[in-house]
Amino acid sequence: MRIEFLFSEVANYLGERGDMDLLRQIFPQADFIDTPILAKPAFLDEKVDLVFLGPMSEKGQELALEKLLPYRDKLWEKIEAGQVFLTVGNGMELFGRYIETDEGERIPCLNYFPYYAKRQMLKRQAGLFLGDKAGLKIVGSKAQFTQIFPLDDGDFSRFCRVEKGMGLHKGSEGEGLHYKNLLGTHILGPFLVVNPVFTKQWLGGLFGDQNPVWPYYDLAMDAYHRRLLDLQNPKAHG
Amino acid sequence: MAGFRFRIAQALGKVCIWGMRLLGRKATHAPGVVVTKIDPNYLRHLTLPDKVIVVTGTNGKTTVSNMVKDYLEKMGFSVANNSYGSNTRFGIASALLDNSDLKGRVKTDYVLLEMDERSCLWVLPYIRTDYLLVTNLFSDSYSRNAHPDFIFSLLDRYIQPNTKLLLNAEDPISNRLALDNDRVYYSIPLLEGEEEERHSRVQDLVNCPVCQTRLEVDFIRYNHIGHYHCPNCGYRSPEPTYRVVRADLEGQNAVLGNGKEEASYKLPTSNIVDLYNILSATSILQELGFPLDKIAGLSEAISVVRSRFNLTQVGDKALYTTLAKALNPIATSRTMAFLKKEASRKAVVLANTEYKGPKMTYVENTAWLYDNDFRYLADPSIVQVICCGKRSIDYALCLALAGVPEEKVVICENHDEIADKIAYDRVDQVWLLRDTDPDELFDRMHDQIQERMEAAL
Ligand SMILES: [Zn+2]
Repeated sequence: MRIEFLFSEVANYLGERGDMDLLRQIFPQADFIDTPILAKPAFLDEKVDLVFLGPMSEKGQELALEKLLPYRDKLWEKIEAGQVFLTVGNGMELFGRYIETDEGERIPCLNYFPYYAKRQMLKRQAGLFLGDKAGLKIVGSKAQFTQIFPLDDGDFSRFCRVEKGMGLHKGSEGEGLHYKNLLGTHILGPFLVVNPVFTKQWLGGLFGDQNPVWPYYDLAMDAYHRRLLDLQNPKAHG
Repeated sequence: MAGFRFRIAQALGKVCIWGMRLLGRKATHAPGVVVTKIDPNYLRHLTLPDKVIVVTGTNGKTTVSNMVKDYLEKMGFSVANNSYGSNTRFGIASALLDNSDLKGRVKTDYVLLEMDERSCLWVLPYIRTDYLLVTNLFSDSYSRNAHPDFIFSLLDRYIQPNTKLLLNAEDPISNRLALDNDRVYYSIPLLEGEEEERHSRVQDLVNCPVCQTRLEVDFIRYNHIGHYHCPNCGYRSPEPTYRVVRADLEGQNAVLGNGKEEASYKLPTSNIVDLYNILSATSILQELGFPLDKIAGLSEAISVVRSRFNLTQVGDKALYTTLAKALNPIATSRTMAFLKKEASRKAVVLANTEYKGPKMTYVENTAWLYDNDFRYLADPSIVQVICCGKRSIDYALCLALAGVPEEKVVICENHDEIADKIAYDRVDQVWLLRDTDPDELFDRMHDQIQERMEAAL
């Protein structure tokens, strides 16, 4: 089992180090590759079972884009072939068509899916999140400068349905992106840590033969149930 | 038109302050809102004294501005300052309104403002700032401050060309602010016997700020605070003007120098963070023209604000209350690193959660917990770690994942029950980590714990 933390020295904000640590504890026998921003991603040339890309600053995001754009076709081939790729935070914006800045500039992205992200650097969107994925409740928080808007000329599959808080954008019914084994979301928590049921189902389903360990699962479930209860309170805010 | 608006704002603002004080209120925020509503350029229209100093940065800004204010006042100068109120534009406007006459002339010898970094866009273009001291830039509240790159960009954009910058030579993020501006640096070189911390959990900068190559480290004090050079483009940490020549943290004294002269200082604590605070405060004062030896003579008058670090001795045991701002993983980690060094057996109460009242329908974003260096709490000298509040189970999970043995961890949702959970017979020190507010809650917790400690003697 090989796990690549992509651009991990710049893509590690908003508590997602917690998810990286969790992956290390779930797969204690795995090889972990930390790919710096100036290096070519390993998964493009070698077999990597899981790629993780965490939240970046806007500058970091643009650097990451600069590094990935030359490999646009190769990366898409990998995704079509079922590459497991999880990105939490603004990484999913790279897979859309463009990012629009406050000044109205459009930064071209990988253009795999028909959406764009609109940055508003003085309007941070932050708060709680509660969603539903096929009956499973997804919990967490949000803290981002962007809202993601679908474009009319196509469609893409959302990660989950919104029950409370902001989805792709304010008023959106869906959150995130889920295509084959590519999963992108802006849900923080850390995302995998605060959603132990989803994490176990998803990673267990994909890598059950790799002897995954579910560290402190009972405690994680306690925290999950408690948060879920709080989020379901009609007066909940965050 | 601005003149008329300003005069109305000034008059109504004064009435607002007077009315609020009559009602026993603090008048440190609302009057600022009133004057800014009436005259959006209110700050620009004030007439300021010759010296205007602004202090900002993620950690230390309150302590540093309080130290400078204390000193200036002890020297007999008057200072317009917002330390009793908020550090946003409204707190700043309230303080200046309060210190100005009806014509808007600020009547003090100095203006010394503590500024929330995020408020710079509302403050720096409007107030002639002669000196801006930036303590450091770190990851802070993810909901408000996002990441240090964002705060850097804001400051970099809004710092005005005539402002002289005082910058931390060990912070490769903030010391590259407004590169065209006149600037001086202050520095604590690696001290004799100081242990480096090269593997802090959060390192907000590891690549060269110029070319993105991985920086080579000369030394790292903690997190990204250190000296670096780039093997690719020649970037290196800047040379300081103001520096610590040597320091004995345990003995709480240090020698500070500026290349020409040196002077000895007594330190308020043995925490290196306080040495940074003293060094920055004295750098400002030297820039203002006070000779180093004269500042040193008064250094004992410079005290750390009590609510930020407070020791209550109970028999041979100690109760420490220390500010570790909620949502700020660096402040909390530095506090844990410091308390870990104490040889005594300790209970640590992690009460620095975001507390929003007893009903608590607020659901806290727990992401920041995972950037805390909880590994410090795995130290055998720490007997108990007590997790408080609504998200106490999340704390316990985070501690477990960080390798803190489960048997040390106590989960206690109700803050008022925490005093009962401490194993007084097994600890010599209790460390209560608190947020900035609410004071009543933390004071009550402090008193409850103190009572139980006294009863257990
Ligand atoms: Zn370089």
